[in-house]
Amino acid sequence: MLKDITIGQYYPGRSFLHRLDPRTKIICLFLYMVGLFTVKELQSFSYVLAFTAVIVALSGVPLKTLAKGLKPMWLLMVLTLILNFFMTSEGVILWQWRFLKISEGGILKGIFMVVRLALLLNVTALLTLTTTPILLTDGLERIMKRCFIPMAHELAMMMTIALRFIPTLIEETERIMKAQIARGADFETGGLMAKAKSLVPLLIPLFISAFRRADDLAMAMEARCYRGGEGRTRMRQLRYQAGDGGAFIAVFCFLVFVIIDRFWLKLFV
Amino acid sequence: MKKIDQVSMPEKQAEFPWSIRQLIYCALFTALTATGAFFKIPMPYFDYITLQTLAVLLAGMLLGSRAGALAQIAYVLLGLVGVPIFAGGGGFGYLLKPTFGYLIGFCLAAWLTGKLLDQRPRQERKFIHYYLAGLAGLAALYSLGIVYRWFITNYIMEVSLPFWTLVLSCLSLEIPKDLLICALAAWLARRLNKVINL
Repeated sequence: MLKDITIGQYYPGRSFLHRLDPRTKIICLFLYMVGLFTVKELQSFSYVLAFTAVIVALSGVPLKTLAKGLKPMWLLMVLTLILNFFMTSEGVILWQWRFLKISEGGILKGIFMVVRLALLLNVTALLTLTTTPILLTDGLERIMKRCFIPMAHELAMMMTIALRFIPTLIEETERIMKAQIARGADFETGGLMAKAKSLVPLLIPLFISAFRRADDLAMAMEARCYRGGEGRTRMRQLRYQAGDGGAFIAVFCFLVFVIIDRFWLKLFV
Repeated sequence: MKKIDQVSMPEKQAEFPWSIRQLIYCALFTALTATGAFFKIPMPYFDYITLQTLAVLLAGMLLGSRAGALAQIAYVLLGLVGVPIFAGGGGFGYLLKPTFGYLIGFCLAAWLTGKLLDQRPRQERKFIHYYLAGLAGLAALYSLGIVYRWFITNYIMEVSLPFWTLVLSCLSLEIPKDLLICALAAWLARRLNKVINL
């Protein structure tokens, strides 16, 4: 579990998608999402599916890994499908029992919603599968700076430090819990009040030790003359490559095509 | 002749808007909020409680409005770019989950709790001040969470669900648990205020 958090869901590799700049990936993902929500016909998903298949192929991530990432959202997808089946009544009614009915429109709509959700989840999962968290926060910082979001550097720095703190804190909590159990603390039994009270001998030492760690880190950074993002240089510079240009053009063309199809061409209606 | 100080030193030192200590405490509370999601404590009548709301309230109570909210914003951003620190994973897709509103609510709750407490100097705060500020924060958290949930079910999942049904189903189980969490947070905040030095 500890390892899972620090590395995220990163799938190591050297594919085209892995080598893209993190900024490119974040912006392209955003454009793709806009495109996805522009589509209004179930049939139009055919070319969206083709485009997505190309992206997946370029990522070099096995389909099995991708499917595993969808698992936590499984319930949401099934729920969307079922709710749409029963709550939409358009077209021919196929089945009816008292107030429950399933209509043709409802089935089509349910499938539409689930396909859209699955596509969205797959492509967003690809972002984290092909980019390390550190590169992601780096890319995010640069994008936020471009958008004139204040405190962009501070936010990115906080994210990086938090990423480093999380495993330490989990480890620390487990250690304190064991130490208190050894002293006879009881976390398992008792009513609501007893449980809340039993948290105190866990939380107070946890916070105190966490504060001490934070103080140590602050002093270490002060000693190394850290003074914020102003005039800061980097060892690893982010640079756009030729591949980034290609990715931008491809996603942009996709978006334009989706918009033209939706409003003028209507290829699949 | 060129003066050395003109070459090596910039005209004015870039001003860091915060102390480093504040920045790191923010990061610490980001991490604590993330850690809170992993510790699910089984409860007799509810399935479990997570310590996340506790971390959110404490961020507001101990760090103040601005830093507290920033810690939560960093948490949400970190989860959105895909680090699996939310209760159900992470990633951009989370924006469409009906429960994402609670995460935005975290930022608002920390900010509001801090804002209400900022008006009173640290030494004069009593348990009841912390408690009431925490309750206001929780109210903000839930109102945002429920409105978002309603919006997602009605417009993204396109299922029409009456607003008040949703409110009742979300709140009824949560209220007693959160009154307790809030009391715990207030009690802890009063203690920890003596230890923390920002």
